[in-house]
Amino acid sequence: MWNKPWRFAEGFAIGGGLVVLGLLLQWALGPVEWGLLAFPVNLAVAALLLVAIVVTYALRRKVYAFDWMMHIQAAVPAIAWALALTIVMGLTVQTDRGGIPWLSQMLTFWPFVLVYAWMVFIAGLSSLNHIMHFRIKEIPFILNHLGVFIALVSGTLGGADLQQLELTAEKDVPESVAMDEMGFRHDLDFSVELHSFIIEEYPPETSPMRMPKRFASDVSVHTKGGRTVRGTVEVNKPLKVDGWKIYQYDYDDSRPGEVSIFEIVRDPWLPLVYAGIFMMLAGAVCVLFFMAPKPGKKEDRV
Amino acid sequence: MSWDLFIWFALAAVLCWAAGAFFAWKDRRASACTLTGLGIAVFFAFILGMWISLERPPLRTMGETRLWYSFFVPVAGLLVYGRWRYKWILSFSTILSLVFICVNLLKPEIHSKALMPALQSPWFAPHVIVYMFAYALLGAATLMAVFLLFFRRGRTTAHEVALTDNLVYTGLAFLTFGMLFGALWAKEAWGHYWSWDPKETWAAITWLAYLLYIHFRKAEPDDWRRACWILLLAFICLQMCWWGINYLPSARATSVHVY
Repeated sequence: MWNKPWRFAEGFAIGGGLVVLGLLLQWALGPVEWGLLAFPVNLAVAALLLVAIVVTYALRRKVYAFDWMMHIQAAVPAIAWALALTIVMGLTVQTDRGGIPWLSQMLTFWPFVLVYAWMVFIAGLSSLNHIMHFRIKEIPFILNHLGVFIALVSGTLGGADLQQLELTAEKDVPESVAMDEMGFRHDLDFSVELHSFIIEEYPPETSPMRMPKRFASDVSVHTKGGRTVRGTVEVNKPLKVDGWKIYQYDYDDSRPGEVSIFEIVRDPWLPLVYAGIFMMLAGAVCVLFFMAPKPGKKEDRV
Repeated sequence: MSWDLFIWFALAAVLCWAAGAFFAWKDRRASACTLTGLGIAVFFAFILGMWISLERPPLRTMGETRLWYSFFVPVAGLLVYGRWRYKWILSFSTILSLVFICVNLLKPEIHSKALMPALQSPWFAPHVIVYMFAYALLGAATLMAVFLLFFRRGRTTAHEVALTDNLVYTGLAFLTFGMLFGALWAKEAWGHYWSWDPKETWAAITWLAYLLYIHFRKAEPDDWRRACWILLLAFICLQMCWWGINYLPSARATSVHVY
C-alpha cells in the first residue's frame, strides 16, 4: 500500500481515515450543525469547494494523490464507503432525537457527511478533468458526474436555506404567521385567506373504508405589494406565490370546512438542484443509448 | 375487466411465452419473437383493461406492482434475446414471470378503485413503471451473476460478461429515471424532493450498489468474479427497497412508502 500506482486499498484507507476523523469531530464538536450553513455561509462554502477542486486539478502533476483522485481507482472505494454508511442508515431507525446514539441521526453524523463529501469531491474533480479534455463523446460522462455533483452539493448546502413552515388558516381570516417544526413563529410577507375547504370521498361502492378522494382549499393570497392571488390548493397541486409554494397539508377534523392547514415551502436553491437532476436524467438517457458495452466475441474466455 | 379474468389472460400469455421459449431452443428466431410478443400483448391487454375499469393505473398495491413485473420480465427477455441471441433467456423470463403470476393468483391483494390524493399525480405511473422495468432487468443481471459464479466453472466468455454489463447499464439507467421521477413527484406532493424516508434511503443504497458495480467493472475489467458478488449484494439491497422494508423495524415506524 501507498506504493505507486495507488489502487483501491489506498482509497479504502482514506475512507477509513475520514470515518475516524469524523468520529473524533463528533466526539469533540457534537453533531453537524447544518443550520450554521445558512446564507451566505453556504455560498462561501460552495465557492471554497469549487476553488479546492480547481487547485487539486491544477496540482495534479505535482501531487500524486491528486492525480489518483481523478481516476476510477479512487471512485470505487469512495462509493463503497458511502454505500456502507447508507446501509447502516437504512438499518437504524432515524429520529430527531433518541434512538441509537449518533447512528439514529445519520444526517448529522460526521463520518457520514465526510464520506459523502469525499465521494462528491471525486465526482466534481473527475467532471473538471473531463471538461478540460472535452470531446463530444465525453458529454455522457460529464452529464452524469457533474449532475450528481450539482444536485448533491446544492441540495445539501441549500438545505440550510430551506424553509418548511406550517400555516393554519381559519375561514375568512387572513393569516400571515407560520410555525416551524421547532414551534417558532415566523411572520410572512404575505397572508393566506381561506374561503372554503372541502373533502370529497370515494363513493362507498368504490371504497367501503370511506377513503378521501380529494382535499381542496379555495384561498386568496394577499402579498405585501398589494397583489391578491386567488387559487385552489390541492394535494399534488401546490400554489406558487413569490418564491413560496403552498401545499395542502392537513385539516381539522373537529371543525369540518372551517380550518385548513398548509405547509409553505421556500427553497431558493431548488433551480440548481433541478439543473443537477435534469443533467442526471439526460445522462441516464446517454447511458441507455451510448454507454452500454458492445457484445464481446462469443468464444473469448475471460 | 375484473381480477377474476386474470387467470385466463395469464394462462394465454404464459402459453405463448412457453411456445416462444421452445422455438428459441430450436433456433427458430422469428417464431420465438412473434409468440413472445403475442404473449406480451395479451398480458398488456389485461393490464390495460384493469387500468380502464379501475379508472386509475394499476400500480398502487404490492399485487399490482407484481403485475407489471410479470409483464416487464418477458419484455426484457425479448429485448435481450433480440440483441444477444441467448437460447435460454426466454425460458428464464417465462419461468420468472410465471412465479410472479402464481404469487398474484395465490395471494391476490385488494384491488380497490380508490387512490389516495397523494398518489393522484402524473408522476405516479412513470415512477412505478420505470422502477418495475429496472427491477426486471436487474433481476436478469443477478441471474447472470449466479450463472457465471456457480454454473459456468471457468468457461465464462467475454460475451456473457458483456451481456451482464449491458443488463446493469440499462437497469441502472431506468433505476435513475425511477428515482428522479420520484424526487420530482415528491416536490409536488410533499413539498421536498428528498426526505430520507426509509424507502428513499434504500433506493439510494440500491442505486449506489449498482453504481459501484459499474465503476468496479471499469477499474478492474478482469475481476468479473468480484463484480458478480457486488451484483448479488446489490440485488439484496434492491429486494430490501422493493418489499424488505415492509418488514424492517427501522422503516415500519416512519415510512410513507410501506404498503
